[in-house]
Amino acid sequence: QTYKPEYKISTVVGAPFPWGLMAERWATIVKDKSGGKINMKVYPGASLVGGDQTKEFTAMRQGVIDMAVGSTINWSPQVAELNLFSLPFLMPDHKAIDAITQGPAGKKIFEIIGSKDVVPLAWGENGFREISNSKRDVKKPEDLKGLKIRVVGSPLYNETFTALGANPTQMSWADAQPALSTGAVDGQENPLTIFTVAKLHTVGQKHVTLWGYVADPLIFAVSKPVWDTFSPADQQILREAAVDAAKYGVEIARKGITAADPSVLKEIEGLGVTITRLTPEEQKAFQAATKPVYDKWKARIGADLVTQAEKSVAAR
Amino acid sequence: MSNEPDPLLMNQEPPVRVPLTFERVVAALAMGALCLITLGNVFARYLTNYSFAFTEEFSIALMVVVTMLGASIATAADRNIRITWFANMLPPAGRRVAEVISSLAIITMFGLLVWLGGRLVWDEYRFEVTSPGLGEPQWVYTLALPLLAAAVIGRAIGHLVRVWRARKVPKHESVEPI
Amino acid sequence: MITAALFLCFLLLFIAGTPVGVALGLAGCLAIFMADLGLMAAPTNAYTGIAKYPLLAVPMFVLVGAIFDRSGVALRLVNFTSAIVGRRAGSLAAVTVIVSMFLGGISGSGPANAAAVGGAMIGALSRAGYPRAFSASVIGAAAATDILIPPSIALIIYSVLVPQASVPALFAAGMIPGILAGIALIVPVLYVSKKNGFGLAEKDLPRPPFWKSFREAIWGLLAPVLILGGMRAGWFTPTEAAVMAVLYGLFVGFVIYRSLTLRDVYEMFVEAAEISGVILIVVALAAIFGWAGSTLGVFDHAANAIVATGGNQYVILTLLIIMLIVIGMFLDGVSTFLILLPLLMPIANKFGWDPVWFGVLLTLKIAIGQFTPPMAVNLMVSCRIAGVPMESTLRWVFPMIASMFVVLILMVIFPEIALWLPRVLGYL
Ligand code: NA
Ligand code: NA
Repeated sequence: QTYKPEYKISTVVGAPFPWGLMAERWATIVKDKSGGKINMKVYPGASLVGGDQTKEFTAMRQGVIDMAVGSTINWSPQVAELNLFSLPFLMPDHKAIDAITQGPAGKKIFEIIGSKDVVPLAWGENGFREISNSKRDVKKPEDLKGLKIRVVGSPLYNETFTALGANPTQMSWADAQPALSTGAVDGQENPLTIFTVAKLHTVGQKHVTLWGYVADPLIFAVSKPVWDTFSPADQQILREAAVDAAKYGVEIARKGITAADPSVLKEIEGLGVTITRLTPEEQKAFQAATKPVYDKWKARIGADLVTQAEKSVAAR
Repeated sequence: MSNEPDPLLMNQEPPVRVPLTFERVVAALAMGALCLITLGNVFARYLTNYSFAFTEEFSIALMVVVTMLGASIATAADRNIRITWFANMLPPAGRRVAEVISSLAIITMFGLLVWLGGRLVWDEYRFEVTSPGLGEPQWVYTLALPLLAAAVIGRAIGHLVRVWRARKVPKHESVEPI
Repeated sequence: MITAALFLCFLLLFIAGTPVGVALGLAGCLAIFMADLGLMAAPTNAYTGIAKYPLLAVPMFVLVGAIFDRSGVALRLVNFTSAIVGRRAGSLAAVTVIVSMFLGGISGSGPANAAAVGGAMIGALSRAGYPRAFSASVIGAAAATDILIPPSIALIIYSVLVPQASVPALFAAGMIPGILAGIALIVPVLYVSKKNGFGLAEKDLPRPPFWKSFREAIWGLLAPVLILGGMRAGWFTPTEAAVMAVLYGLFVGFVIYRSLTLRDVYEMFVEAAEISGVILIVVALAAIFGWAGSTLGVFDHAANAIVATGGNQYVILTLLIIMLIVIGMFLDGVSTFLILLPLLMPIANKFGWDPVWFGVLLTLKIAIGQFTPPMAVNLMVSCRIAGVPMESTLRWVFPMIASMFVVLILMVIFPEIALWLPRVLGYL
């Protein structure tokens, strides 16, 4: 069969972020194993969908994008079940993320995605989203009261921050940086890799809390119409390469932010930023404050799926 | 001051058979709503603890409406950004051909938006895509694209008919708006 | 082959007089179809091309321009500035430039500025003894400073196309070049007026009373303070600043000057919607062209080829500016940005040019083009108000064009002219 000269992988951020690196690794492995027959190129910045990452999934379904390493948050408008990972304080640690993605809940989600003309191949990682602000250390929900926090656009995030007493504000990342520097908003939430690369300490973000309220696993996927053009052997190559690249991606996404290897945390503290680490009890207070939101969305996402995920987390 | 013709938009009243009332009233309402939503956002931020910010997606949807209606009015009045300098060097018959090509191009482009945009809406409806900010059905927002593209087609057809009937191509003076 | 189709299709339609956006969109669709990239990319990109929050500032600043045009603010600013400057040769022409720059701190578009200042000034300039063609030239040229002095619709659109350059950084970067451009215009305006004895017809009339004119002008004087100060202080985003300016302008027009009616508001809303639609439909359809070109790798290849010629970066920059001058003879600012930026940005990146500096440089070039005949949108508006043909302005605008070009050359040699302010304000 004839293959396209180039297959396009969409990502939201490129190298040197782990997100971009794992997509590039996928392309490299596939090229090697297919003997140069399958060429994939990474298009960061969601540039294949005019910069609107929430359109990525639809575009892939329509065959406008061949492949993507996409975020569960950005795909949740099309796949409501992906809101699972945005349930506040569902996953207390990295092991919990793995327990869900590699367990029955992860499998179920892949089945759902597969029913929407997109072929999911492997789970990568963007990381826990940690909160930072310019005002004070956040140890308990009351500390968030009245803080204006820039959040990604999603009703679930809006409700979570409202439940915590904060004042969530939705704005594009381009608007967010000047807004942070002028104090129009007080804080933001993102994986720590974004914090360091975007140098958020220079816009007054001096208080970081490691609260791990949500994590954003990434999904390696191929458009179904494109997938069907590959021979079974090449499909196998794509799948195995995605699994390998995802494994590498999870590794680099967690580098330097664990108790065993806190090098990135040390680096951030070296910039004059205080990092607050919550004890399990302190984290419980946040969990309790967001419980009504959790319960409401558990029903909306599908109680069975969420219960399955909870079980996997408990048994990790 | 309102009696004088506006220097930015000369020929305020294009010679249309179907009045522009619909486009104008809806466009003005959308502009007004845009102002009110954004104002509400500012006031809510400073005067209340309630976050109004997720209305951003209403604003964006309204902006798409304003764009398409504005394009429709501009097409009726022949005020889109286009360069007739080259076409004007042609003899009258050539100019008419160029004008017909231009109108057919508009009809084709917006026809594609009606057809493909309609497929996009259908896709979003079928797969129950929700909006990223408020979780509303996305197809309701996207619908503005194919629906109002049809209005532009109507205006382009009207212009084509007027060009066809008239002996000579009307003089074009486009707005360059920035 | 597909690349050729992309550009040929655009060029043919463009030359036939098809609207620029439609020509871009159809060429993009043709290339997408031929390369089998999936035609659904067309509606998706057209929608996401305009469904961007920062673009909301475009209709809002267009509306601000319309409101301040009709509310009579410009006229009060003229009286006040005249009270300060007095009535020497060329002084009222200089006042025109200063008032334009001041209105530039409120409105975001050159033609809107030309309309507002032209409406307020043309009569006064004629009574003071300036030839109408000269007045139209001064108004058209001075209005060009508007798209440099923040707020600026041109810079907002640049920021949307080049996300690394934020709107606040661009706004700050445009300020000093905009003021320099205004000063650069005053020099030839005063020289030509002195030489020809323009503006002496009313030299014996008394100056307008200072305090009275100040009291009336204060509302106009405060508007840029509100818009720029509010953004700087972090009270509101650029979009919100525009809406606050709308509110303020309506307040001044209804309550203070009592020059507006509800009918005016309706008409301004419709007018702003149409002008915004004209701009944004090009943005939407050009997104299809841009997507096709960048997905096919056309722009990258072209940029690589240009850089591979091994030319010195100043040589390349000079060639780019010459190309822009030629293109500017036929094309407006928005279209220039939308067609050329996908090609220019890879070149800028390869040479390591600062995207904020580059954006202000391009905008300055577009500003000059706004009063360079034959396609000179500002002159079109000012000549219409003055009732003179554009050809009559040729002898007057030439020194102004040359003078503003000096600012452009200075900005190439000293990039800090643009970059100093945003750096000090912490936007870079
Ligand atoms: Na301005
Ligand atoms: Na020009």
